[in-house]
Amino acid sequence: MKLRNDLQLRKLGEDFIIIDPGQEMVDMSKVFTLNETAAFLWEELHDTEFSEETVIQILLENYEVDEALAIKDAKRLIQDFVKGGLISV
Amino acid sequence: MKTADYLVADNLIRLSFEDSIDVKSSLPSFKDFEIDYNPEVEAVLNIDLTLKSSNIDLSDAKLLSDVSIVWGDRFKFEEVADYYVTSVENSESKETELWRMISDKTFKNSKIHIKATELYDSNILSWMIMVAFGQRVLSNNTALIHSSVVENDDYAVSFLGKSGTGKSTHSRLWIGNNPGFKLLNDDNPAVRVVDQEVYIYGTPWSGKTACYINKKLKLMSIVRLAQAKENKMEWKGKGVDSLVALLPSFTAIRWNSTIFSSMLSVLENIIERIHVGQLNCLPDAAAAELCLNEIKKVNKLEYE
Repeated sequence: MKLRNDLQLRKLGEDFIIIDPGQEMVDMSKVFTLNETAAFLWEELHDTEFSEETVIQILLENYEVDEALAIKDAKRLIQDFVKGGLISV
Repeated sequence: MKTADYLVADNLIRLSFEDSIDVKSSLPSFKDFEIDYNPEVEAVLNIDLTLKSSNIDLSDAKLLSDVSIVWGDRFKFEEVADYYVTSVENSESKETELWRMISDKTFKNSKIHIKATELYDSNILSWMIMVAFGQRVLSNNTALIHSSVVENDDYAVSFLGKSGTGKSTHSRLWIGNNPGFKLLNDDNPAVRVVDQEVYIYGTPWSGKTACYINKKLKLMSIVRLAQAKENKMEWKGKGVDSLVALLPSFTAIRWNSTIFSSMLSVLENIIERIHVGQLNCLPDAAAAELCLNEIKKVNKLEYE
């Protein structure tokens, strides 16, 4: 899978945000806020083809987490990105 | 061909038009904004006006929107390969019976095909220029916003809110209760970020209120209004909360990522520089007084 490359992560004050301008006739634009870990992963994964395994590896290499937690967090993050429509299939 | 130059929010609009078109009669609200033509200065946006109908082929056009509060079902916004096409009239109308603006994808250059019978007794020409201006100036750190604005010669305060929330009413409460304040614009002022300051300008567009003042002021704060049972001010954090408060009152076409991200950059620059608040309020004098006091407090104006 790949992150949508038409979206850009922005830092606004203390917040990491992604704005998805709605393309429908009625404005249904969405604003997402990301925590620091999700923002870090967004930058790492951007413009690359990745799998759940990629996310787990990035978490293990950069954070003090054991494998079980990394797997759980990776699943959760991918789920959230999919649900938000931030991943292009 | 004749030309007319207008300077709106420090962005130069240059109109070129056939000799038979009396632009001044068609654009009375632009009177205060006219400046001498100077061929050495490049305009931010150029607009050609013609009485000829357009022959653009719209058979492959993609309809982006036909939702307009102002024009109802008379409005259409379409995209073809190199242009955006804004039309005002029913789709069944003949070419000579509609208004059509054809703009390049940056809105730097537009051509407006005028419906002659409505040139002098409608504000469609003014509105079309506003549409092009609103998109084009975003690349120049400027944005048209949907707002009612008051000022006291030193600074201005901008009120946002959904239609019907009471922006104009709140402005009038300021004018009646906070000494020194008057109306700058009631519907479509422009904001512009220059270095560390945010400025707000009157424009030739002001909704139903004839208030077309060519004046620039420091913008002190932006306040979103919400109807409530009691008056209360809440200042927004300098992140996503301020963004969400401002976003609905700014207009960039959502289908053009360059223009849309220019708008987000303008928003970021504003949020970094000034306070954004939400006033939950009744339509009463106390709301206007509380709002001014809160703005003085947060901007430390009491001690100057």
